[in-house]
Amino acid sequence: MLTLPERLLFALLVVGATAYFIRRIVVLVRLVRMGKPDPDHRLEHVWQNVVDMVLDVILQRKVLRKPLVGLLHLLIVWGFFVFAASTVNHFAGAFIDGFSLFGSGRLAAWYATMEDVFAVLILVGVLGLAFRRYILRPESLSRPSAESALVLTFIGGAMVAFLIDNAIAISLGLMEHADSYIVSTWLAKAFVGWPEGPLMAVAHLAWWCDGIMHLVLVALLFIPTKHLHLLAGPINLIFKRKRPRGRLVLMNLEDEEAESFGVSKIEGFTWKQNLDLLACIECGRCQDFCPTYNSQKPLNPKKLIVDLKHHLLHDGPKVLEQKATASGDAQESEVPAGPAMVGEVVETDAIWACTTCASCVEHCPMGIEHVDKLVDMRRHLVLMEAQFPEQADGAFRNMETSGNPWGLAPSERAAWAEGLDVPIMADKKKADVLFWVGCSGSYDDRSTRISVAMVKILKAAGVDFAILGSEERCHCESARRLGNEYLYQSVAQEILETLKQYEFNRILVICPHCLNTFAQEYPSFGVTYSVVHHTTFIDELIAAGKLSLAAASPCAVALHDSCYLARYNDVLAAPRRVLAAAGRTPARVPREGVHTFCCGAGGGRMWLEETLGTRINTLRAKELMATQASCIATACPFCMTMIADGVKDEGRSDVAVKDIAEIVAEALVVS
Amino acid sequence: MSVLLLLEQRGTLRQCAFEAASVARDIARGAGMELNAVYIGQSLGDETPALAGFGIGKVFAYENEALRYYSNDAYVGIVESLVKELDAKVVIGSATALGKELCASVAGRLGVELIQDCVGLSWNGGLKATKPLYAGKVLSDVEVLTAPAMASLRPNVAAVVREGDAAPEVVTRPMPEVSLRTVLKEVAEAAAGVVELSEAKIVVSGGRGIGGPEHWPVLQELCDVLGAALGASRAAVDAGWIEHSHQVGQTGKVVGPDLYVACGISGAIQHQAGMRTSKIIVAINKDPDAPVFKICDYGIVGDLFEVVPLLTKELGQTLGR
Amino acid sequence: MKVAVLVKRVPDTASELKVADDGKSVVTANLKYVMSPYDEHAVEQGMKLKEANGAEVVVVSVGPPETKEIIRSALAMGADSAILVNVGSATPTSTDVARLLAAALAQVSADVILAGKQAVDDDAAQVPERVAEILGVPHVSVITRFELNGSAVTVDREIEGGHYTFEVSLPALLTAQKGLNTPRYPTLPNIMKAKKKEIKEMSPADLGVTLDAPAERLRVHSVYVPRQQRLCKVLSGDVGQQVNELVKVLREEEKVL
Repeated sequence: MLTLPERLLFALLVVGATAYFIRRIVVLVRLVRMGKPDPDHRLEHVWQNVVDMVLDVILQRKVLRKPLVGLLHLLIVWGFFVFAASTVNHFAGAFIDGFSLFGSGRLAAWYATMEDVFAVLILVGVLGLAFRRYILRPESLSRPSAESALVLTFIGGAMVAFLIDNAIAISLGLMEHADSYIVSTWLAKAFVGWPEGPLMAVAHLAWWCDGIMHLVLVALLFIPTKHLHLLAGPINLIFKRKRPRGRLVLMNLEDEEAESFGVSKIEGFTWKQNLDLLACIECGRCQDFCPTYNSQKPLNPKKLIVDLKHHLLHDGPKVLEQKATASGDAQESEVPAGPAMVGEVVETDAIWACTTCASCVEHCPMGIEHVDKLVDMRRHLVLMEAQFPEQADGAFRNMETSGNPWGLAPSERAAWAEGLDVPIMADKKKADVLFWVGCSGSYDDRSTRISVAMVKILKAAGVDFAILGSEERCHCESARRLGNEYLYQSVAQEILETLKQYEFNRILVICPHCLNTFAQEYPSFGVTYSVVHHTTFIDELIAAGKLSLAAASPCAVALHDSCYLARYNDVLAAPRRVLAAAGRTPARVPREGVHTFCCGAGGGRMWLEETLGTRINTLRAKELMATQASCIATACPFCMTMIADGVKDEGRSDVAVKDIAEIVAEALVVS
Repeated sequence: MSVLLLLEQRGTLRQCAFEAASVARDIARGAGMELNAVYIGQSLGDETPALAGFGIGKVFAYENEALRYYSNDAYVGIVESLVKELDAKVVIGSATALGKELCASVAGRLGVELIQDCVGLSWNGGLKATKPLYAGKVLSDVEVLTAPAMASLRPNVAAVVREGDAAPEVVTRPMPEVSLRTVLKEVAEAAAGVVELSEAKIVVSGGRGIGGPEHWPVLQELCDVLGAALGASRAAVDAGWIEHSHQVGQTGKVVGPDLYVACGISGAIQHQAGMRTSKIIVAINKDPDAPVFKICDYGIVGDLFEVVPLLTKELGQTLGR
Repeated sequence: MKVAVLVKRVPDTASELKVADDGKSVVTANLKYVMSPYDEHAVEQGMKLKEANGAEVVVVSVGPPETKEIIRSALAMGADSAILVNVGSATPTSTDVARLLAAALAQVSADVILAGKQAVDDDAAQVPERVAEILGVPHVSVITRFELNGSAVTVDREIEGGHYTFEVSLPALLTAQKGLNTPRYPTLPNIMKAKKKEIKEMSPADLGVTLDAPAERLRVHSVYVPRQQRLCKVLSGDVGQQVNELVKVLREEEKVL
């Protein structure tokens, strides 16, 4: 169809676009590779990840968590695959008239229908998403960007041009399988009766629009836009870690070569962390579910990733350039490569706001790991600069010297157990179950009641258990998530020495943070314990018929899932089964299970003041109270404190906050 | 052989000087020694009668405008020379901010032993002191064997008891020549009633039970009577009833006063972390199950708006303020 | 400029203390030890002088060999070197501790000597003043502000209900009170560096000091714990009676009023 000059022009454009494409790829690959080696063996599960990725892409599993938006996006994704061949046909058709990958048989006819229908479906998707973005303006999409407008216009434009191009071709009788193009055939009616001259002119115009828009779309991939997610997203998913979400990378603090610990500059991230940034599609799901964003704090996980992405794309090349000159020239140029990552690109208040609840990570369709980046920045601030919220200073010092965050007497650790005849490991040396009580369970007046309830249950079930008593000390998980890796690691050695002295089969904990530490983190030290959260343990005891619970009159309970239990350690069913066994019917909580909403205490926030925005615990407590349940059940002492405070602040003395162990202990029938 | 009493003044003689005088008299009597005192200041003026009844033989008054405020260089030299002149075997001072420094320097210069901040002092064949260690967690009964034996007495632990009305003889002495290595530049006396929270000897705190910012005066009146600093729990600060600078607790200030009065505070662990080292804790709360009653020494279960004003009144009468 | 900071190893304030079988001392085994909190403020002031004036900071302590752990934490805050006068398990009197410190300080010739206002174990509150007397340098105790101006320093000296501002010529000794500054949290590189810094260990004999037998200067008759735990005594009677009783016990028994 095209004239020779047109063909030449098009060839030139294709060559130009390809050259640009390759140049951009090289830059992006270099930016990603600028990152440090990643401590995770990213290729360990590569085939499984590829399968997962293919399924995620084709079935849009995570995207479909928002059903309507997911569906519209799914139309575009599927259309994208259908149109891959169409694009080839179109480009080759510029030079070979009537070129088709599918020949001219039934396959081609069938494909023609697909193309035609999907062109419309894509348009529906594009218009739907545009309507959402520009008319509905959901909060998660924040500012409507020119970038998105560009992408949507070009995709939509390409489809319109495609349909018109086909319709004219049909009206001119140039199309094989014209009947297969259901939509185009219908559109062709509009051109019936047009004189051939103008018709041909419109046809050329439509062809060029279609072609150029395709070229631009491809190029757009590599101009730094969110369109890049088409390429970086799937690659990022392939390299997704299989390490448990609750396991932070164990830092090598003895590294003599290390000039710096933690991350303070963009070049401090690993290549995978860089790839994360490029994969972001800015969908805002992370921000939708983020407790800090939803309580008007400076941390917005989406903004965090987008700002870091722009920082990488804008200032990364300068770093590369500097490195190149520095390696050739002994004198290192000390020109700053751009704004400081910590403090300028990312506000320090944002860094400290994170509760490490990992809701963002859970909801990200692109497999981005937000939390680790924030912890890395905290690590830099604490280990290198000793800069952190002043309230953390006391907590750090208390955890170090007194073995608990409040600086209470280590000798008082087992005071809660006085008169309960609780066996101590130092006397027994050996027990089936080591009950690790934790700091809250040992000292906090409210939480000691959880410990007492647990002892009651253990005794009723005849479990052979013992506690460490004054030999127990804080494992400093919260200090670690505040960036104080040094404190965490030095304390871990102490705890490992203590545990080594005794024989036990399992560690029982009443705190999800203790669970996560011993089950997920301690394997990094080369030790593997069998660790069980008390809800799971009670569930097992009930299943084994070791507890008899009175069938109390059923009453509704709003279960608050702890992030470190549900999202980090997949403990979801046990708490529900236990509640049911105790005659409690779980009320429907708006955000539950892996979608749970943080109480505000994670990531060391328990020890910091929450002065910015509204209080996270109040938000959550209100949500739980809105279920009208007269009791809120928790399974974490931190959640207990936060939710109970939230309830108290609302003046609702009629709502009880109880740990699941307490609810079970109340229902216990002791013969 | 005599006992030398260091009289502390801040313009006028301080209450602690009379407390120390009462104790010094009993020691001198027990040891069978005479008691003399030293006054260093601008002018003893007409305060001599106040020193009657303590069995003080002579008061050596070093009076000079330049001695009005404490000067380590001048004061230490005076006490040292007087100890030697009088052959003092016991030296008693007051364990105040300045008194402790003076005693420490004199002991250092004389090379003798000193027990600071005693809560009990007596003579029993030697100078016996009851001395709190580890911030009062442990008490020790110690005898000082050097000559002189030195001790400083904590204010407010001894009663002022006058026996008879024999006034001491005042021996006025000129200020000895001394080259001052430390020069006083400024004297700042904080406005009455403003006590820095973290260093206060008494703290009165309010929590959620206060009910609203309009009720602070109830506690402030108690603070005024006690010379206490005003604290608050996190709940009260979070509710916006008072600034964060008043917060006592894990995420606020850590205090360790002699007396901590918690009013309408439940006693959550985060609050406990900020006041656990207080010597005596008093709790006033209407909820008998509040955890604060497990960490207090004395508790009153009741409405703070009823209890606190009564307490303020009672203390006002007892303390004469 | 050279700064010397005197530090002491003391049990953590959260420690539960027990009286030894002899009834004359406190059981020190199994206690967690820290640098006396006021000393941390002194070290911090030293670090401020290091940062602002390039001062060299030397930490000096008297104690058992384990004191090195506490000295390391001062070095981790950024001090340059340290001297430990190792007295083994001996518990010298304040007089002797001062003599040892003064002898060690004679080797340092510091322009500024800093110390905590008192150590939180024996609360003796006299060693720095004694050191100043032995060395013949001026001193000011319990300072809440430190400002260097040339060869003198201006300090605020806390008194009940206010403060005096003094100007002291150097060399001088100053003892720190809480409000002076906020002690820094050590950074990891500084913790690592501290492990390699020199701690010069000396014995009293090395310093030419013969310790007096403490028993000849002070005789401990007994040591006792006044109250193990909180009384948790809820008063009874009507409000008037309760208030009455409270005022009475606070005044007469507890002597806190």
